[in-house]
Amino acid sequence: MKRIMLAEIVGKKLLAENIYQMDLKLPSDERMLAGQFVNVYLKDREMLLPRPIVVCKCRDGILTLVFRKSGKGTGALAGYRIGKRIKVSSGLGNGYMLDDCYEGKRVLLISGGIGIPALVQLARYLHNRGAYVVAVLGYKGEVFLEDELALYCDELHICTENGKSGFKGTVLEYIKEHGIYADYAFGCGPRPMLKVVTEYCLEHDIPIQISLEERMGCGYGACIGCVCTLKINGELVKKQVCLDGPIFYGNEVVWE
Amino acid sequence: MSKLDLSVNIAGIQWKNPITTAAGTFSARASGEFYGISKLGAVTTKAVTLNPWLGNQTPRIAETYGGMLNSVGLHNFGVDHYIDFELPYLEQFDIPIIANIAGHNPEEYREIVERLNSTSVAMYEINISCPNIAENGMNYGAFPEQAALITSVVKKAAKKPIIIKLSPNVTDIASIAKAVEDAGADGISMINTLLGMRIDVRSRKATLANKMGGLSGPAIKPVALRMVYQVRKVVNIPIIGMGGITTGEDAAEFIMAGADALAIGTAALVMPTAPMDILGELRAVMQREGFNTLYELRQAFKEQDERLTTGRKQW
Ligand SMILES: Cc1cc2nc3c(=O)[nH]c(=O)nc-3n(C[C@H](O)[C@H](O)[C@H](O)COP(=O)(O)OP(=O)(O)OC[C@H]3O[C@@H](n4cnc5c(N)ncnc54)[C@H](O)[C@@H]3O)c2cc1C
Ligand SMILES: Cc1cc2nc3c(=O)[nH]c(=O)nc-3n(C[C@H](O)[C@H](O)[C@H](O)COP(=O)(O)O)c2cc1C
Ligand code: FES
Repeated sequence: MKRIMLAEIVGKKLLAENIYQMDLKLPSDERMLAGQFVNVYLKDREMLLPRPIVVCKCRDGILTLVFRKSGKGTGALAGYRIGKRIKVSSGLGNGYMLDDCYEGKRVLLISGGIGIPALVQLARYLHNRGAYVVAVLGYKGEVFLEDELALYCDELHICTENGKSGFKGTVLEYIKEHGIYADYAFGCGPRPMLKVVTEYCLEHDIPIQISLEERMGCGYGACIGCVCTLKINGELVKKQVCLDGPIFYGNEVVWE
Repeated sequence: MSKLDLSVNIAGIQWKNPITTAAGTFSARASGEFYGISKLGAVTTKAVTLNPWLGNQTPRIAETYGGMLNSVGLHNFGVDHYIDFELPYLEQFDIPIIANIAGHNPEEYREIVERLNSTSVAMYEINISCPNIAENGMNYGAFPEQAALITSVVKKAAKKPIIIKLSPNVTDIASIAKAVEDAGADGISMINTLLGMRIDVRSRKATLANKMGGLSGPAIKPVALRMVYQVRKVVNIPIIGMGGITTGEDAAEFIMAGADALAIGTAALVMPTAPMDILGELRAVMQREGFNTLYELRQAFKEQDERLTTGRKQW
């Protein structure tokens, strides 16, 4: 069974401008998969709908979320103090589709901006299964979570728009320029980035899984608000991002 | 020992409690991850149409002050898929199944009902009010004659009780309720969503891809309650009340206004266990106020209300 839990804020950190990390102590240990997200409930009931936030990591009953202050809800969340209790859901959606084939394989993780937190638990999983993990991360300016990811990545390449750190340019430009190859790829981030990265991977026969976002009502499969279009065996189908995703195979996504 | 009895009889169908799901806000598989579906009084499924519909473009959801807008449309796989894949799954819960039905024209409504007559569906909820069906949000539910027409066509074809679901986007809901009762409706459910809109100032665009959508949630509760109250005064058939019900106190208000049963929609999208939470809270409210049955609760308000109205000018 899934549930809604009362969790205590036990840690809060500003990682970069407007980017917050929040550690939540869950009432008991919960299994949350890399790529899943949780519904976060706000205290102010004027804001009715829960906010979907990706699981950055969840270990020993501590759930870590990283979010960008981008509106009213995330603004309120950023203002909550340590010790406050908030409601969060169990892990929702499907995680990345993982099996045991990663031993000795090169796996490419591509992400940008607020998509990066979704890679932490995934990188750890892949690292523990003996993969050679290459991460290419894109930032606007300030870099965050790079230390954490460095623990699990064999190569970590940072790209910034302004060239303040690492490579000056986009993740795709970096990948092209350095001719990066991999057996598998995983992507998470803004839709325009995912689109070009997916096209690149497909051209180079690298199977890629990506995480999609859509406006959600319920986040658990009841309202059919969050659909995306896929092409499976030549046929166009609508899928629910919250229930069938948020992870999809890149070759099936229809970009419109 | 408490003598609390929350069972209800809606158009000849026995429910063990008055709580059902509001159409379009429930999925047996998804909601069943959070609570036991068999504990509901009845289950109401999303609008089913003759052929598959893909619904509208995204974004289909927007938050509003204490409520939400949706322009999901009648996204479903069609009646054949419903019979083959959804009904068999729902049957295991052993509670009345209410099929919400929508169509482009009276013929389609009739055809869907005929297909469902020989299935385990216990009653039909005829959606004449979804604002997303036709252009400009117009619908059959907006005119008494049109509403009566659909009602009589469906009534003739149906081998199960028919509940007509009313739209609040009308000038005089009581006249429409009366018209469908006269045309043979076995019950009324109300209200569907209120047509609404939001604009994103920064992008200079409507927030929903469809521009307009249906408003639901706590924000619409006073309107829904008022409409149930008005309709109860003019019809004798059962009313399934809905619109923003979020707490046991809300549920009690709807029963007092004249509802016989209750549907939980947006509250369950926000908090998946809401139907069970509200049922538990309603029990607590009844115990606190000293009522054993929903009838007593309803009567207690009615008597007061009539006393307070007598001698006063009606408006
Ligand atoms: C599966 C999924 C995972 C996500 N993971 C993260 C994450 O790990 N970190 C992070 O910072 N953000 C994440 N987001 C985006 C995050 O949910 C939004 O930034 C947040 O909902 C904005 O809420 P707000 O009240 O601050 O903004 P407002 O603009 O005030 O919100 C108004 C409404 O729009 C919705 N909304 C606004 N922006 C988005 C968006 N980009 N995606 C979906 N709904 C939105 C809100 O939920 C709310 O219902 C994720 C979104 C999805 C769908
Ligand atoms: C996402 C969503 C989908 C809906 N789909 C349907 C539908 O298919 N058929 C229907 O008759 N009503 C539909 N409704 C209306 C609800 O059944 C209900 O009448 C309305 O939302 C008011 O109740 P609430 O405030 O508790 O949600 C939908 C509502 C929502 C929020
Ligand atoms: S958000 Fe409700 S079904 Fe996905």
